[in-house]
Amino acid sequence: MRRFALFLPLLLIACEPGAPGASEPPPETTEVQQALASPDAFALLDPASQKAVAESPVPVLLFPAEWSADSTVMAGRGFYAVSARRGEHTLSIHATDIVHAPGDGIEAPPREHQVRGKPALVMVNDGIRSVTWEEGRTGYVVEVECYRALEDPRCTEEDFVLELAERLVEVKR
Amino acid sequence: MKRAILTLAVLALTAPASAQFDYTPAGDLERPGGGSLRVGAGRADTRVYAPGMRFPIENAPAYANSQIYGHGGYMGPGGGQCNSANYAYPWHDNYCEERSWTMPMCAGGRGHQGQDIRPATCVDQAHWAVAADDGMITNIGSYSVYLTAADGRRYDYLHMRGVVVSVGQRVTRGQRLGRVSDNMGATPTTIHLHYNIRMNVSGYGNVYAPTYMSLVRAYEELVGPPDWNAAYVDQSFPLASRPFELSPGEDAEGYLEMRNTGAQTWRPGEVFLGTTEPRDGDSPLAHPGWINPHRPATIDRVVEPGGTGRFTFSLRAPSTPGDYPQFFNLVREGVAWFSDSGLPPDDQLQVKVTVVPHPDADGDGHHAGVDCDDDDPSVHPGAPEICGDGIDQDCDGADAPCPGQDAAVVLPGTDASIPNIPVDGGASNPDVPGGSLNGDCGCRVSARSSRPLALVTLLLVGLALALRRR
Repeated sequence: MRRFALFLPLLLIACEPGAPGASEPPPETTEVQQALASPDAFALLDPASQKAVAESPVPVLLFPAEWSADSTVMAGRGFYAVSARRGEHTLSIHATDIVHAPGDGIEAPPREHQVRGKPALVMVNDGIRSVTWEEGRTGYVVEVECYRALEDPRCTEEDFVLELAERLVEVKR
Repeated sequence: MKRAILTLAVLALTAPASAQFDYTPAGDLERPGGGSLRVGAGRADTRVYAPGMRFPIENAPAYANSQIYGHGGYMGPGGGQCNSANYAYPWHDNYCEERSWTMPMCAGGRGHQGQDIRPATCVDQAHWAVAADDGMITNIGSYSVYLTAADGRRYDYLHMRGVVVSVGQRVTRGQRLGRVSDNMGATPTTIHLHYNIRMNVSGYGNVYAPTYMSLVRAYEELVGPPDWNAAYVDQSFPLASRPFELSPGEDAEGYLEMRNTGAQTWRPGEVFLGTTEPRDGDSPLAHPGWINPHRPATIDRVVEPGGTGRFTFSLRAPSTPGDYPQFFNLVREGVAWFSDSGLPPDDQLQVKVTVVPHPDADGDGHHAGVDCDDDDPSVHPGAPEICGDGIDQDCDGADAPCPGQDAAVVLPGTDASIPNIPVDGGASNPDVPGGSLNGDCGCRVSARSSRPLALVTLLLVGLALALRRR
């Protein structure tokens, strides 16, 4: 019951305009979401996800708490990942510290953005917007996939993914 | 008529699975219009970023090529997306194909970032996408499925429908994930799988890595080696790009060494080297030692898959100067040419002979092929013959005897065991084995022809002594 009470605001968020069938894009961050953006992000995860956080081989960053109820955290020997789907939007995190050698040495261009104080690269891949950066050896990726990939500003613009990445919650283990 | 058109259409949509898999090199982008369109700068990266990866579509054939620059694409040469040309080999890399999307591993800093793959037919949701590796489904979006392997490599499947897995589910290599479709959320795309490999690459970060060669290797594993397939190893003949000059009628022996990369064993008398371009054409370079004018040789040993063997044969230069390129390929006699289902293609193995005229060093108008002494202008076919000089001026094979000199006369008791007798005090000539110089004419006289003269001299001396006694 207590768990249901916690989820109630999140269910309300899930019904925001912009869900499949709606024509208007979802509103940006609301007061309710701001209130939940806290270390509660971990506490609101389901037990399996909390266990995966503990098993992650790399430092874990979670989506802000308003996404926790929709988040699934997974971990493997060389990675952890988060998937959160709500309405027209699917968010994901992928992080690994296993680094592979490139085939040759085309020099990477300088990065124009910053996330968590690190140089960051924003990319688009068939409508899926992502931002990547490194902390130590760990390469992090945050991605946003939109049902209306070619119209939804969360995917056509870079602001949303950058803001989302900046608001990731670091889990102290 | 309508039925005929329908039949043709079906044929066009379903390329035969037995067609030989072929692919253009990594970084070689499709360039419709002969390259006039800007398609980007490809990344010629042969590294296999996901070794051992399973091909992400369940069954062959499948076709990696561009949705934009191929037929039906808005930058393509016209036609529809289901055009048969889009469902044919060779594959084309489109990792760095021109896009507005940032891609640090592409030379221009932008690119497509993944590889587009068409399944066997242009039919929506008819073909399964399968797990490229053991791993976990780590995300499912409106049109995407992400599979992450234990080593952190992530395989992205875009434009999926009918997904049969769920987030957090562990899957095994080859397990069905969903169907290839045209799904891109609210705006359909073409029927294809957009496939990414996302991994942490040193110097670039957690980016979409080049996928093409990983897909090539995975596809080769999927379709398996053809029965008859060979790879070039070595040759003793000069490469076709280098000079290989022979004189008219000159012979040259050499070998061509090949590796058996097929599934069948090669056996002498079964696998031959044959002429190609055209196949079975009689070669102007054929040597009498060939099996026939279009079969230079058979393999020299039993060659199991993975092993190597040689075709050893001679070439004979034609009599007319000029260039003589000759292509060859391997053929399993009575079964198949290797290029029908495997490699090499018919126009790859080549020997190119340039026949050059014989030299005429002495400038007497007769080349070394017919001039029996190309350093002496007085010696050539048709030259005046000087008798008894030991020189064959007219190149007819022998010096002419002088009048009264009968080299054919052989007296009793004259054989090779009889030592040479110098005549007329002539000094023994070390340059003429068994011969001496005659002081009168300077002619070279053979040892055998000096004996009749000695006999005549003895007879004359005997006759003079007899007359004196009387």
